[in-house]
Amino acid sequence: MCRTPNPADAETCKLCGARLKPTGRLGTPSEEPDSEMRLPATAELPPWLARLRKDVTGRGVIPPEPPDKEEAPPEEEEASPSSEESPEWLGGMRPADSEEEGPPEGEVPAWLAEQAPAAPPSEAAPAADEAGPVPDWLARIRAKAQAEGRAEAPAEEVPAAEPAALQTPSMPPVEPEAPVPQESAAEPTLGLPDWLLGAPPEAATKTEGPVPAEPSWLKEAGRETGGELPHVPALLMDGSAPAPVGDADIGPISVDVPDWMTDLQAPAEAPPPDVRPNLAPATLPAWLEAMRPVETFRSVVEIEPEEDQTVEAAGPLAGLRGVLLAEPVMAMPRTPSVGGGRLEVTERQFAQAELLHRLVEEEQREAKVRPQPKPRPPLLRWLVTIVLFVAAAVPTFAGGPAFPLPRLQPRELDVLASIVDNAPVGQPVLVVFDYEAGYAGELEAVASPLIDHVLSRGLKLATLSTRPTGPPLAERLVAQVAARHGAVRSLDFVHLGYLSGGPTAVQLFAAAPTQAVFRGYLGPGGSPWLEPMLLNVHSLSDFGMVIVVTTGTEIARTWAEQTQAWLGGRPLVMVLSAGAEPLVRPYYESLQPKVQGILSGLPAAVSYELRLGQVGPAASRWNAFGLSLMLVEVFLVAGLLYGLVVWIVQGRKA
Amino acid sequence: MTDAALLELLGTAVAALLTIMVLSYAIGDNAFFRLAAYLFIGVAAGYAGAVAWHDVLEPRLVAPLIAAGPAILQDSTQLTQVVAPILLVVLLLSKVAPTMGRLGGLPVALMVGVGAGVVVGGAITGTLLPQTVAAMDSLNPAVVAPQTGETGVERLVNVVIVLLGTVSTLSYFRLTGRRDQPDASRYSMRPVRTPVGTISIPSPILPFIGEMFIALTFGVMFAGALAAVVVVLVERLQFLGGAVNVILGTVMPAP
Repeated sequence: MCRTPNPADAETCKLCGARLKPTGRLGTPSEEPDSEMRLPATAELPPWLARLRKDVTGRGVIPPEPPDKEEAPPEEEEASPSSEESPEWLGGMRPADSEEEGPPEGEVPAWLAEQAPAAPPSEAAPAADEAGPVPDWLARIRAKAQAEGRAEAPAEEVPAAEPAALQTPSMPPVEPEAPVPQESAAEPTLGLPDWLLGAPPEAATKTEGPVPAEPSWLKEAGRETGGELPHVPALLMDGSAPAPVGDADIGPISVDVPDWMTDLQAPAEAPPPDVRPNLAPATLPAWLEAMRPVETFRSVVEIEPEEDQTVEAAGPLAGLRGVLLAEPVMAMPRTPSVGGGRLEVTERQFAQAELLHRLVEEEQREAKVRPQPKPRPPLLRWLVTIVLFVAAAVPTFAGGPAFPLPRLQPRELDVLASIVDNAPVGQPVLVVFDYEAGYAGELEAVASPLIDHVLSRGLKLATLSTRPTGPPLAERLVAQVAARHGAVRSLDFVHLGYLSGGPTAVQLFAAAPTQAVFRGYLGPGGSPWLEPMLLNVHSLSDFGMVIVVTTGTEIARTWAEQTQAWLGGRPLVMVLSAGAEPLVRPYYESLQPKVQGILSGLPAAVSYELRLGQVGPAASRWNAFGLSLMLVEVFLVAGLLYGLVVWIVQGRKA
Repeated sequence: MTDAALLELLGTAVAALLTIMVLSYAIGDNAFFRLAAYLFIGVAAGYAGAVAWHDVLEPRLVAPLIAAGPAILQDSTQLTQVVAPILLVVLLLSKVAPTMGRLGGLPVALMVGVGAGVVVGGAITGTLLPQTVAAMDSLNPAVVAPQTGETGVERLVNVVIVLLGTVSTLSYFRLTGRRDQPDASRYSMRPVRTPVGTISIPSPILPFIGEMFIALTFGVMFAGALAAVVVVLVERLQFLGGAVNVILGTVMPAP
């Protein structure tokens, strides 16, 4: 059925599973096939074929088998050919002339005689050699067939759809010496002799009535004699073509071949009968009828005439004509199949739809661009800025108002000065610079007198920082102060550099300074602990004093907490920004202070300079600081009064 | 002019220009201020990276590894001080890759755990317990008087202030609230009869007093920060004046 080439000894097709060899000899009484291999009734055969079968099998009349309801549906029985209704392909054969009514009575072809060993002796066919002479009646048929070219014989094409399923290797050729075309030789003969294939009975068509129009696939097969691609007729036939009978998947061959031939093939299961119950036409509800898109429906697949159908060029369906295209279904826009009718909505749904409609309309409406109000210039901020700039600049450049220097010294200043005075000379002082560059203007002025005091006593300085920007700030301040005292780097002061690690590193440095710092800053290279002034330093208690210069309370608290266990009674001094003092002072004013000395703010620094008897950077900024701070206080008081007035006015209004 | 003097003059001019660009923020946000801010951030980050390499990575990890070579694996001291940190660094770098990010959790957990232990331990032993004991001792005049020299009413007033401030501030940080009135005001006004008349006082009164102490503390801190900023402003203006003198003195030397 599928034309798949199979080996000669194969019994079934390797592709479709159809049987390739007959199950037994045909027509013998002892081996009469069962219901599936049953020979057709005599009434269903042409007269000449019935007579031929009678000569071979000896069976005169085979009555039609009663219909089997389980295996053969009534529709198929009705479609089976009879003596009055021959198959279409058979009708297409040329009718036999009066002289081609078949072999004369009593003369049976040799191949057919061999197929009937159980024939009666009186009706035995004469033994004939395979290579023997051809009978006269067969020679006449063959000569006429050759004269007509045999090109129009559909029998050459019809068996093409019937593969080797009906070819029997044991079946001897009738004319071995006759040149058989290669194509026809490969085609199955359906068990019919060549004389029958080569000479279609033209008279039969005349007697069977009008011949139906030849199918298009048959025409194509006649033209494409050497076609390489298998021809498959269009699935959608035009109106002139006869509607296929039975299962369309079987193909035109199976449609036109008589049932008894089909039965000789593989015992394929009969198509299931149409057992659909007689269903009453459904009555759609009114609401569903209203939603049915009758007017809006439009088929997306337009059936084209067969001539206009294109041949598939790629894919597993290559070469087939009339293949349904997937693009119209998948990609082309189409009208939705539902929702095209009139909908019945409730009042609530209608209200919601109206609301949605209004919302969409409002969104689509262009909003008028309102001109942005011109931003007010920050006059108040400019005023405060100008006032502060003037207050800070006038005393500096014009020598403006002079504010009296503080006469009273803070109480903690005496404690701090005594700590410095009592610091051991042989031990260096550790100064930690933990502040950012932005606060250098304040902390340099505050720490300068303390550093000056330390260097004036001849104490050695070692600087450290837990911030990467700390060492340059330390160098900036210490270098300025050391220049006044003639201190030399590496001899009088050393920069230990950057201590990374935060609180953990502070504790590590307190426990083992030499393990925490490896490389100094601006030193001669190598370890700073090799400097002469640090040779005797192995722990934090080896420093005579620890001074922390910082702006943050967290850093001050870290140093106060993490170094207490390793200070060994050495004083811890904090030099603070004015803003950090309130949170650090409790460590200083405690009965068991963690911080022994504290110095914060410009006033304390000016007092320290006065105590030292020198005018340093703190004193030089005193006038500008005083004037600016006074104006700031004026602004604060003005703001406070303004707030009180607003609060009172609003309270009365309320 | 020597190269050093020229570089110093150039550095002064650049510093003065950047100072003016930063101070221009008083007028409003502008491109000059942003340029100076971005420049400062970039320079600070680059300098921090250079310092980290020069003071940490190179002397602590790279130099010992190069000096010891493969023999570093046989030295237990070097294994703990050099190889182990290198492995931790590699694990920390693995957090860059999403698939190996979990490996970086080990050094992070180590840093967080050790840091938290150090900070909490130091806070308990260095701040919490000593400050608690100091607050209690400050109420004993016999202990405080020899140190502060306060006697009589002065010391009594100070003790009362310290006691009231400590207790009221602690009462302010109550971790309770009204479940039925989560947004209710913290205090309610309650009328109290006094000899001068009926006045309304907040209730409860103790947390209110603590809130006043906290506000006073913040006020002092703000005043200190303001004073510090004023000092910085004065210093910058003095620097600008000095820079102008230097530049003008260089460009137009005195006859």
